Amino acid sequence: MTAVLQQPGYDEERLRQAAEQLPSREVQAGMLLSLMGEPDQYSYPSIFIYGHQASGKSYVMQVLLRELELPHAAVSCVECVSAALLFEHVLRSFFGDDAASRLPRSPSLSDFVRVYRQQCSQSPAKQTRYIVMEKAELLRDADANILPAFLRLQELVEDNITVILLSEIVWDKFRPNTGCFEPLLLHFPDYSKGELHQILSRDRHPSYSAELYSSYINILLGVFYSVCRDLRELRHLAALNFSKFCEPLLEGRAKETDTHKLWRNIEPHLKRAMQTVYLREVSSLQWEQMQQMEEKECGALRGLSAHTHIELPYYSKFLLIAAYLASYNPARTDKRFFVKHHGKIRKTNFLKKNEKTSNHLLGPKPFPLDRLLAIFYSVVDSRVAPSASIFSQISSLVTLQLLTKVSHDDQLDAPKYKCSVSMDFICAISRTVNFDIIKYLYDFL
Amino acid sequence: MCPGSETLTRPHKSALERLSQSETRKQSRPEVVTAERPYFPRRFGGRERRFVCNPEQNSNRVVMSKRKVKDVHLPVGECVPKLQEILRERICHQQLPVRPEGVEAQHKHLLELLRRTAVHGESNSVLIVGPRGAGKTMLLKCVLRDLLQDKEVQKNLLQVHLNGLLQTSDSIALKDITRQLQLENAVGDKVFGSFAENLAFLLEALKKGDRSRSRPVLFVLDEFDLFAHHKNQTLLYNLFDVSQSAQAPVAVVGLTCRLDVLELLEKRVKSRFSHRQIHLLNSPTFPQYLERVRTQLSLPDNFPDERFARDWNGSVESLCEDKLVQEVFQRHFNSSKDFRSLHLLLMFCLSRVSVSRATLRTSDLLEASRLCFTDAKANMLHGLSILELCLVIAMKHLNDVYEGEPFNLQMVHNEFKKFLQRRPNSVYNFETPVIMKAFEHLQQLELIRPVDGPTAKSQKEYQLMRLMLDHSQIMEALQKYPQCPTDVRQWAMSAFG
Repeated sequence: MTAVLQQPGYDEERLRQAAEQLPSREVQAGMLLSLMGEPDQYSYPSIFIYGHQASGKSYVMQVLLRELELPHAAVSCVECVSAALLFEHVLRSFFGDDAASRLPRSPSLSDFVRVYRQQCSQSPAKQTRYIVMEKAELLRDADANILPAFLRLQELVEDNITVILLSEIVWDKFRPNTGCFEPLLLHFPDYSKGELHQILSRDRHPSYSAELYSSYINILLGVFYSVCRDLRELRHLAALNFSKFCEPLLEGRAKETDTHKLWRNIEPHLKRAMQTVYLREVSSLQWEQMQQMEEKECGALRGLSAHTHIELPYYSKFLLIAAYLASYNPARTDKRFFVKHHGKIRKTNFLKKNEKTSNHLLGPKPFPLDRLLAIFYSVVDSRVAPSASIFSQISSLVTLQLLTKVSHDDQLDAPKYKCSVSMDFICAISRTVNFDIIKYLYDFL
Repeated sequence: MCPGSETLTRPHKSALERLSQSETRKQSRPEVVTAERPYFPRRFGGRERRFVCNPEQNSNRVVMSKRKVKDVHLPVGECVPKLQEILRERICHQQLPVRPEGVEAQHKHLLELLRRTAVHGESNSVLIVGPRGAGKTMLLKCVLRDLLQDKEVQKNLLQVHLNGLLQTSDSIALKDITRQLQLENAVGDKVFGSFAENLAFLLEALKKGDRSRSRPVLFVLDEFDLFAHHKNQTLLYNLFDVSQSAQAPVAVVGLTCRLDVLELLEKRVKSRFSHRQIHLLNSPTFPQYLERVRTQLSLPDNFPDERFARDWNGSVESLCEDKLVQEVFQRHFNSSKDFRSLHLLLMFCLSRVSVSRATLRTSDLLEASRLCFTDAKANMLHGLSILELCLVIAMKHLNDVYEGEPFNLQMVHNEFKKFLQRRPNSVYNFETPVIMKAFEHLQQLELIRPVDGPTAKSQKEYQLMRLMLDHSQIMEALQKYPQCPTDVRQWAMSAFG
């Protein structure tokens, strides 16, 4: 089925085993292997592999290095929050715990290279050593010297070592200002629809036929392929929804050959899954439970985003409403909305050239505290004293992240704010206090 | 003067004496000669070690070549790995050439300069400036190799190699200097003392010496511009100061790729620098470039199988004369004259040579060139889902209409909705959260970037973004996109969404 990888210097049996584990990645694995060369030959100092999420970058590397038993250190840059962890990990995987303990406290790159040289002179490399760094884009945020140094590590430590960087982001975004040693660039292309189908069909359920599972995958890809090409996500969705797909078979309502019937059964279910499980509104566990109790409609369970209702004090509600109005209405229109006996002014009189686009498209605008209070007093019916509690409510709205402070923290006399709640949220709030907010919004005039 | 210097210098006296030349040194401590240059043998000895590693292979070859002096035929299965080994070492490991090409004048200049330091005890400072991949390190290594052939120099010269990437601060650099000079306050490989003590000790050691008695020290500062970013440029100041005054003879060689490196130096440091610069500006002509390809790829005369070597060299020769191949090289030459990018290309070529196909063909080179020249962003666009592609097209339209103004998710969604309205029975009626997920994925791939940094606290749908793609890139990607729906393509073509 799969073409056997070929490269002299490696055990044939192992190569065959590795090839079996790499469906639809033969070309990439073969090329990588030929770039790596025979184990005792020099390899290029650094290789940069990029490609989309779940296109098998680290998997291919891992399978090759593990199956062929090459000396390597697999590093995830997410885990290595400090360079010290990175150095320690690399030394430990090449030379054992001993070497790692020789690093001083808070080691610099210079210490790492020194210890590496020492260890390397004691146990020189018979084979190329590999350092595989996943999520290499995080190296850009580390110290400025880490990335350029690792790219030319072969030259610095004078050992037969190759650094392989894996990332989702293209190399152009990595290059430091003053340049660096350019790595070999290798692209892992995305899986085509056929390849996805092939890979997903591999993990079929043992009690059903392969054709059935394959047709199920076909339906799944038909629904999700235009939105999601991530193999991991698709595999997860396939595993979740398969029991629902098999339901008519278990109940005897359909046979395995009734593809159309099965399709009619599963398709609306999958569409619902896209709105819930795919967005992690409903957790996978909840989704499975929902499938078991049939009569209850899927999605009837409230997802995460349905829990937006929040209980606020009376004045806080009005403060938030006032903030929303101040954020989404231009200041010129305040007079027309909030002053009594203003006379009728038509919207066209207000319309300026740049205000044709609605404010709800551009987002909230910042406003000063005075304006917020002025609007607040005019929308609240009763007389409210500007007590300390009103001001503390404003600042607690900021800590709840319903308002955002725009100005600097040190500006005490005239702070500026922005309202950061959605339209639906503010409508729900204003309903609870019997305030018709739509009437006061300039966009909906 | 450091208050502890009185007590400091006394135990270190022997170290200081060792720095200065003494007749009895060799007899009393024979091992010092090898230990003197801790980095040096390894730096240049990588090759010898490799041959020591597999002595049986080595001796085997010698026996064979003795037995059949003239015509040895190894099977192809043995020739190709040998070929790979030789060429890979040349390309990846940056093996030194026998004789530097194109930089003879610079080589002579530098060699002369360093010899003056090594033999006559003259203090010098020099900067080697050139773009990346221009062969600065190679030139220096060649010079050092030639310099060290002199027995006198070999015995005499001390070397200190520093790299701006490794020694990121003066205190680290100072410790490394002490370590590499094998001074007495380094026990094992631990260095004692604070920064101030180290500096005082080192300066004391250098000051004690004079032109006639002391062994000359060669300081090599790789990535010199990074040293200029250290606090107060203390290290540079002191090194240049020693080189200016009549103290121990030192030569400071800086390697940098920045042409404006002198502007980085402080005035007091700059005035102590000799302003001697060696420029390595890469300007090979195209025939020279092709010649380089030839020399890089051809096998040496001492290759075990002569016939194979002849065949291979012949195939390289004929490859270089091919019109198509020359066009490819011309393209690479036009984009960069730097030999390191050429090495990338050759590495891809070389990886396609195997036992079953033991020659280089034109198709290999074309394929390698294609790999080198692919547009990475176009590759990434190819893997996007249709929804994400639609969003990119909507952004492109927004960019066209509003002339590069930043946009937010709401605007993009609005634009996308306009497209959907014109096709009421379209299959792309996705909910807002699904679209937001796609938008976030685009941001994760850095195809779009927030205008005011990722930390700006505003709502996700109102965060202003910029598209990091070109108009032509999008259109090109659309052409290559597998099974692109026709209406999406038409929408992208239409001038105003």
